[in-house]
Amino acid sequence: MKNKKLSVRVILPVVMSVSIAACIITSMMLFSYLFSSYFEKDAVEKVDRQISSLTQSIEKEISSVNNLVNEIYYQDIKKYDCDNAEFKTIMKQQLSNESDRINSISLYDMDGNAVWSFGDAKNISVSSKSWFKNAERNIETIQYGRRRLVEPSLSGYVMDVSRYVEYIDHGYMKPGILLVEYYTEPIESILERYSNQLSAYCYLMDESNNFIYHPFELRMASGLYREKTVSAALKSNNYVIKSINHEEWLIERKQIGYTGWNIVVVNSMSNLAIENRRFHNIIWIIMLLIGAVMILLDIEVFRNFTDPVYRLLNTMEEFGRGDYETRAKEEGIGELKNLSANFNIMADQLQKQMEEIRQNEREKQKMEKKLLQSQINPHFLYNTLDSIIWMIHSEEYEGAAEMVSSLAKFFRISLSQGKDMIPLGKELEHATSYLKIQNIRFKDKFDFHVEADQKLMKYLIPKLSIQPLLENAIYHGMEGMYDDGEILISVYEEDGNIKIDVADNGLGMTEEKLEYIMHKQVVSSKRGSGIGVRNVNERIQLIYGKQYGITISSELDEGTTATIIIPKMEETDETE
Amino acid sequence: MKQSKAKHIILVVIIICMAIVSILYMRNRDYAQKNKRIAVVYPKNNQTMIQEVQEGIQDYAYDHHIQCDIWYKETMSSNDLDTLVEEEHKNQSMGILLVYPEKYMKKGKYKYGHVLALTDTMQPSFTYSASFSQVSDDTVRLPVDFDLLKEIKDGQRNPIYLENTYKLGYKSMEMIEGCVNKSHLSNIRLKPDKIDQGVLEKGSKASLFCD
Repeated sequence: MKNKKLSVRVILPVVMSVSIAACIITSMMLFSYLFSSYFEKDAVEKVDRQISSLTQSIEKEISSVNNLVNEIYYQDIKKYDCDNAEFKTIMKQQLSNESDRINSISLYDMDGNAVWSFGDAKNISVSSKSWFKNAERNIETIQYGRRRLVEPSLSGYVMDVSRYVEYIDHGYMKPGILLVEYYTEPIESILERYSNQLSAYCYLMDESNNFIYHPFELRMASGLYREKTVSAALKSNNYVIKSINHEEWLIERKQIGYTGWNIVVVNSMSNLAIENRRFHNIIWIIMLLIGAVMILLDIEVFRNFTDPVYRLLNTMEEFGRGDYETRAKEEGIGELKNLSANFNIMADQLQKQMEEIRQNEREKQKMEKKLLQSQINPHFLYNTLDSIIWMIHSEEYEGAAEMVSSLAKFFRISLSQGKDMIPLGKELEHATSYLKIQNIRFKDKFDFHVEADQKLMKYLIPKLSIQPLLENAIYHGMEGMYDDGEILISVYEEDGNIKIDVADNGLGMTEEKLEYIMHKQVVSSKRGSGIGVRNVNERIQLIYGKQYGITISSELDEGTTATIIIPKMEETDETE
Repeated sequence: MKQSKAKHIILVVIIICMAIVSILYMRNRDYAQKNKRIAVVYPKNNQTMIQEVQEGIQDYAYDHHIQCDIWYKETMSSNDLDTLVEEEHKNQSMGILLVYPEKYMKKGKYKYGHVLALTDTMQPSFTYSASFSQVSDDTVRLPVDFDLLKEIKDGQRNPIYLENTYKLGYKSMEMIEGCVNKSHLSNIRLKPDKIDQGVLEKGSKASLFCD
């Protein structure tokens, strides 16, 4: 489970997906930052253009007022005596022509007493007025005073525009102060062109930071609105972005030439950003879609990469478990396909080699069996035939006939049509024939008995399995005995297996001799069949497995019992 | 592999959710104004009287992007008001402002939750009303005569109190718009502004007197 978690199949896609997600998120953040910067720059530039346009218009208006004041001074006041009738006509004409801009024109001496005035001017002493003092102090420049209501109509605002002049009074040149009451309406008209909403507006302040124009003047006078951007505007050299009431505001200030006034444009940043928000949204969606597509591609690529590998891995596991027929599907990208193909080639080669090995093994086993079966000592046949001849010479025809009959049965069963496995009944018949032959040869030196469970006779046994044990019993057990020997063959079932005991009452064998018989290639003697006990044991184990075979128990002077243990196997079973 | 796919699906779902949330977030930042309506009923043929109030109402509507359903009435019965209230409710109006109802309605009992009466004399007739509180000194209303101001400025006359009808109109609209999130309106009692020599010299209220 732990290894599975560390699988390349999980780690790589997850790492790649996380990387893609991180890239997308980083790109989005970067994009948002860059776009915000761009929006801000764009907004500042836009406001800058607007404020420049307003400034130019106001400066143009100021310039035209200056020109008008200078024209009155240089073209009229300096030219004509103030008592001159023509002068008065010209001034009245001038006032009439500029009635939309000028409320009155007045001239005061340096004591503040009115010399003359045209329009709605008041004949009062003005020496204490700020415009008078400013003009007195700065004789070269035109002075702009505070804005005030038009009196007595209260129909609008005027501004006191003053300058130091020299006028002709009865032929004498005298110093004085010229006052022009200028309507501020043209300036207001210029500033009203700007979108004056709560989210975007502009205002104009004089040198003393008094409002010359503010779109929400009435609200301010009623205590319904308070301008909070003045100090921020005055502190900034150009523009500043300030948070007021949890909202970002772009405040840009520009000074009006000549007058020292300040025009301030205030814009809500949220209001400015709204124009570009749709584009911003589209980019966000596109980037998210790209992210999703990249992750899906990542899944597909890794699936194409890991699926063939895992299929190959499964195939290899099956192959390792012994399913040599299994083959990998040759699919995947490039080298992965070659990997499967090369595995298949390797598996083919391996299977071929294994088949060869198995075939060789089978051949070897067959050869061994053939070899074991073929180990029938020809001396047994010669001696038996000699015995028969001798019996004929001795006119023991019955014995000779019985011996020939037994020999014939012995060889018929030995051959058994080439079969390796024969029924237990046949094997016992073969063993009995052998014992009969040997009994005749040894002149009834031993007796033999067969006690067999007839139900077991149908089961198969490797051919010539009992005869070598009988041979041992005769040649190793009976040899040297003076009394008659006895050989007992018992066939019975025990623990689901068939047991065949071959017991003799001979001299018995030592441990060393038993060991020798069981583990050495012993051919009992030239008189025997030639098939050793060890060979029989090996044959049984080759056929049935290591848990079967022959066991021998022996006691000196008591006898020897050799036991064959085989499974119950009927003729229908596969025995080859 | 199934586990890996599930992880990818979760990741894709997260990204899609992020997209949806971002879009919703950006939409929430949309400053396009929602349709806000307030019905205003003025007395017919009393333009001079309502001029400053009207300006205050219009300025508030402009500042806060409110659409005003304007009605000029010569007379208005209780049934007419019922009908108007019903219609404006259907129009999803935030409320109704009756400007000087004494000019077109009879005194009575008009109990409506979203009707505010800007009135001098009919406060008892309505549940909610907007008017000026009483002061012991002289009071004036806009527009103010220049000579009066001059006398105050020159110190020839005691200070006066200005009943700022512009402000009353503005505040009345503010009250109706503000009551959207509240259960009910409340009364407005505006204190008149003191106009003395200092105020006139400072010029801070000059725009009120500008014609």
